[in-house]
Amino acid sequence: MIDSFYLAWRYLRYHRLRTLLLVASLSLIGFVPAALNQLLDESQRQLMARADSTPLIIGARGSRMDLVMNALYFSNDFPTPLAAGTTGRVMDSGLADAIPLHVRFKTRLAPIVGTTLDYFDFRGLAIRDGRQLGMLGECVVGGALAEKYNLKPGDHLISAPQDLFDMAGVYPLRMSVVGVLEKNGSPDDEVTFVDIQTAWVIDGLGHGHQDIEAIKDNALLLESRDNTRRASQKLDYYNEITEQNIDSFHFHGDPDTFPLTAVIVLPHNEKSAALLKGRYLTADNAQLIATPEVIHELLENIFRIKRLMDAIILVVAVAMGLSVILIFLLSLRLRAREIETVFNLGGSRSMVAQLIMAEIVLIVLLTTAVCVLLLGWLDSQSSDWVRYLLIQ
Amino acid sequence: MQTYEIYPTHRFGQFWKSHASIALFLILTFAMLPMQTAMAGNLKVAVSNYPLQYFAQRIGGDKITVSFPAPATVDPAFWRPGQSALSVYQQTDLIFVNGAGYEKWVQRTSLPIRKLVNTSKAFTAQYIYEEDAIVHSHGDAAPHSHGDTAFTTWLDFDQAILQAQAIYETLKQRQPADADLFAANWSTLLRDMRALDEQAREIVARAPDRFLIGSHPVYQYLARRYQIPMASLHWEPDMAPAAGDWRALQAIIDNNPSHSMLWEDEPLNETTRKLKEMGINSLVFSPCANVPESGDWLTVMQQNLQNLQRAYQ
Repeated sequence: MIDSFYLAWRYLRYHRLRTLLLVASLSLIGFVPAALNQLLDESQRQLMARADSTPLIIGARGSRMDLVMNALYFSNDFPTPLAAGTTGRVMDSGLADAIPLHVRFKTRLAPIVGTTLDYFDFRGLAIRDGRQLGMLGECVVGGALAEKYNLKPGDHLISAPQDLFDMAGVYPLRMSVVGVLEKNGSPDDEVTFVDIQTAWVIDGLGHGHQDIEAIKDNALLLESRDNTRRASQKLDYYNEITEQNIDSFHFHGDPDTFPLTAVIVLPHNEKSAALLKGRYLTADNAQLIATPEVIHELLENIFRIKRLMDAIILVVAVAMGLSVILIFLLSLRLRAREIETVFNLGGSRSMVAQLIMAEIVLIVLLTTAVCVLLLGWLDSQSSDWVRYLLIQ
Repeated sequence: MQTYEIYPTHRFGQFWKSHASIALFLILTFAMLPMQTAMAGNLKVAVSNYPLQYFAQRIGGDKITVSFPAPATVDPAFWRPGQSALSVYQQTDLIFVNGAGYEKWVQRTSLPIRKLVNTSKAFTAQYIYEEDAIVHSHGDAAPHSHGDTAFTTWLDFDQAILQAQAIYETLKQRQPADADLFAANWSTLLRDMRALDEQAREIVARAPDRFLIGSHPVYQYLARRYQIPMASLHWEPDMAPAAGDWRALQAIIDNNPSHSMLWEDEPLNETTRKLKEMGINSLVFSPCANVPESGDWLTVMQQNLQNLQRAYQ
């Protein structure tokens, strides 16, 4: 038997190009469905893990998928804004804690997530370098983002302007990087975090400028009557918040009306969760979503498509298998002289059969080895790939 | 050569002499261990001004640890915490703030909102907004900055009770194991604060139409609660008023004769003398926003009311 394997191995090595092609095509047939399965399993795991850890979120009425993907994975699908007063109302109900989110802006590199310090406790995010957010205008960056772009405390990031053609619009904000987070294998590794109030400054709802009462230039002051001062658009706003100008920063309007993209709700117990769901069933301008349900719907759609793809791959695999068998049978005809030589040397039919089986076994082993290596490599990369390609 | 016999007792005494400091250290450490263990388990609370610190300490007793990071020499209303003070607030279990715009730094810093308690939330609708504050807008948008809110809410002792009650309710909820102690302490504090409120009403009731002058606009809630007719200036106790300030005072007393001016602290002797010449007595009614040099919030308020009595004699 060993002799058969030796001869088969020598034969395959001699015809290495043919062997390589055969192993490659068979590996592809074996690897593609397995890889697809692995990627989908990983995406299911990631999506469900994130959803299970964030069971409830509140958003404005509209697309549930946009809301969930933006709140959990910081996607570019911006939901309708929600009033910030929602956070206070949830906390005041005594049924749950609430964490506001504002995910509408980006730096050149990554999404900007406006939230409160509670978010870091909730997600278990720890500071690796530097310190936590402190002052308005500061940011902390995710560990993977910092590694990719070599960011560290002391650097600066600028928020990307929302509208290049709005020359009178609010200037982008230059933010100080004060901390870098430990990586935790979640979408939090790839974003920049700011305080929710800093996000509102970027949104143009807060700003700093020179003291209105000290202005004498008529070009800057349109009107000064009684206790009212109206400044013109020519007034310079500060586009970076520093120790020297932070006291000039203020917000206009009622903060309860300022926009959020979502509120993460952390009910104290199941009864509180049920009560909250009941309250938001009839709310006109807000919806309370159980994120695992939305993710389940998404996964059902994905797996429906997967089943279709599995069927197609199966047909292709069968066709390919039949082709390989045909090629193999044809190759036996081409090797008629070789087989006759074996008979002339005293070999029996069973020996010829052993040689051919040995070739098949070796090809199968090589194909299996290639598939295992490829799947192993995919396993090490799938977590990041799924996040980049399928989720974000 | 002389030899000395060292007796065992002498050696024994030498041993303990040389090791006495170590022994003392060990004894003290083990004696303090239970106290430190108890404090390590205490609820950590941070506050934004002294009245809240007083209320929290009266209610929580030794079951909580209260931090008030503002330096003793500053007015907490105009203080902004640096990074180390901010860390105290960020890492504590509960943050009690006054509200009513008192802590402007809250809008410019990052705090965990789950730990933040606005002690004046129960009477948000009763905040007083300064009518003569400068408001501003930008471009053609309507004015949408309503100016400053009066923030010395605790000078209305009824509101102070509500603020203290907010602290009590929060502590009770966060540390139910000590609810009975908190309730007993709250009951005592409530009695003391109601006594202040009642005394203030009695004092003002002697002459309800008597007009008072506030040296600084910090007595709005006091005036409203006890229906004291009052006008306010913008004087500082440690600064001599300018000529324009005296004219403003004269304009007030021309329309509303008054014989008493309330001050946050003792004014300059020269100012007191000139006011006396105008027939106006200077009375200290300290808001006590920071830790007093002596006494506590309750004794300061009691002294304030004694001073106020002089305006109604």
